[in-house]
Amino acid sequence: MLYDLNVPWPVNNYHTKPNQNELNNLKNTIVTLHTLGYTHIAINFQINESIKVPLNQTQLINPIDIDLLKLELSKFPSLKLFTRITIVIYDPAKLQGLTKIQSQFDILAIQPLTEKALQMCVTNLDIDLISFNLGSKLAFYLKHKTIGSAVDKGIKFEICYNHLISGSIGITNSATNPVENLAFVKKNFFNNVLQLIRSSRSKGIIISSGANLPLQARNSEDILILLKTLGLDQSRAKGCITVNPERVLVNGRLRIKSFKQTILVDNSSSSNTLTNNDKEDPNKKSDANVYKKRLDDSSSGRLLKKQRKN
Amino acid sequence: MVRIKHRYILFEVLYPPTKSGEDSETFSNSQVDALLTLHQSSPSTINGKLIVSILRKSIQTYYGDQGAGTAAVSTIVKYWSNKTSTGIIRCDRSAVQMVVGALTLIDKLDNQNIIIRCTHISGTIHKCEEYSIRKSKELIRLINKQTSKQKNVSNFLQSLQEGTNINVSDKDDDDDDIQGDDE
Repeated sequence: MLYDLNVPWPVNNYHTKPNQNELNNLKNTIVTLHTLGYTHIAINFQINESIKVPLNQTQLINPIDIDLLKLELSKFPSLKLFTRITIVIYDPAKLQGLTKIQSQFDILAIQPLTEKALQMCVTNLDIDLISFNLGSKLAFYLKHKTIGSAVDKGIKFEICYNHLISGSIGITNSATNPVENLAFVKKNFFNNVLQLIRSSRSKGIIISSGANLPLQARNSEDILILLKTLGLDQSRAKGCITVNPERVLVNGRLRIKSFKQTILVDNSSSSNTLTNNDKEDPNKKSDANVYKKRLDDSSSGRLLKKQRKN
Repeated sequence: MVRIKHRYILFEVLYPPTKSGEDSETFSNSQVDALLTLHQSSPSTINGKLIVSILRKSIQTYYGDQGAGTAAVSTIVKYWSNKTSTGIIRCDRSAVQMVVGALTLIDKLDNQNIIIRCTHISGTIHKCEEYSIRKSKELIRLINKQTSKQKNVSNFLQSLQEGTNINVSDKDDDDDDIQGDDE
């Protein structure tokens, strides 16, 4: 099982809806990733902190039409789709209504742009994932102490490799992007990845594609080898695409599926509820009925009923 | 005597759907559509020579003169099949990470957008060959299974069956195996 927790949703606000072309493109990207071996894919809705979330209308908080996508991709039985929200924050004080947002998405990620925001994500907020914009120069220095405490808490850090493959210099010269600009993006990417690997000591890193186009999808093993040349720990590398993202997903889904992240009601005997969402009803989180079971449904329950009757 | 040790990298070239082309509509319809779009036969303009020159350029771009001097010099394409878009690259044992890294970062061959996927790395070319044959058989089986109801099996399937017969070390008996396999 391979995980890719970042396939961007084409729209970054609540006003516009993606058009058919963009949706097609999204589907194609997902299918390409799936053919490359990824089974659990999260669609990422990224918003700025200034965008107002419709907190009062819970059904509008998540704009990703996951049911439609699942229906259209039903020919791919082993594909599992999840939703994720990434909030870009400058000023941590502006962040409000996080719990309401949390309950509508499978994964909650934060992209801090200042050191203060990062500090706050690590200490105060209950989140699953911290991501950085690796294509631009980070405004602050990543300290081992901060990153280490986040990793101890179970928060993971994301390396998104789409900056690296959005047209390569020397080999392709795309007309829209100036070559120097691209070169800077890649330089920044390498620099930031090195910083992240150094400050986290290769622990708690997840690798995701962030692919806007099917072209940007890559084989996971190849990306691992590429990152190993940058100094990612050999023995921990494999976990970056298997164990760590699974933990993020389980962590995020425990929040919405369990009581205080400790007790989980699971009636399906064989499948794992947390990484499997086949029988999920659309407004899952607030409604526990799907996860309740009548006494008659289980063998021990029927026995109990019989005894009571007697 | 100690011999020079190499690594053989088995790679395949995948063709992702374009943003506005015809295939972008049908691509996500079924598994077979996706597989057949990604695994296409390559045009004859793509050959081993082109791949190695692009690869060397990529190594030069990302790993600089040092990479070009150490990794790129010893790298050659040992095998390339247009029919199946699969190939084997031989490189120095110490340079394998650099070569795979540079291969991953290639996104264009002969003005066509592509994804290069390294499926197997091995010390002998024979193992790469075996792996490739096994994977192709699996692919054929998968596509056959899915298309048993439909009738429009693409030409690619046929070329895949023919192309699986890798001629690196003159293995001729493979073709029979595959033919027997899907009947």
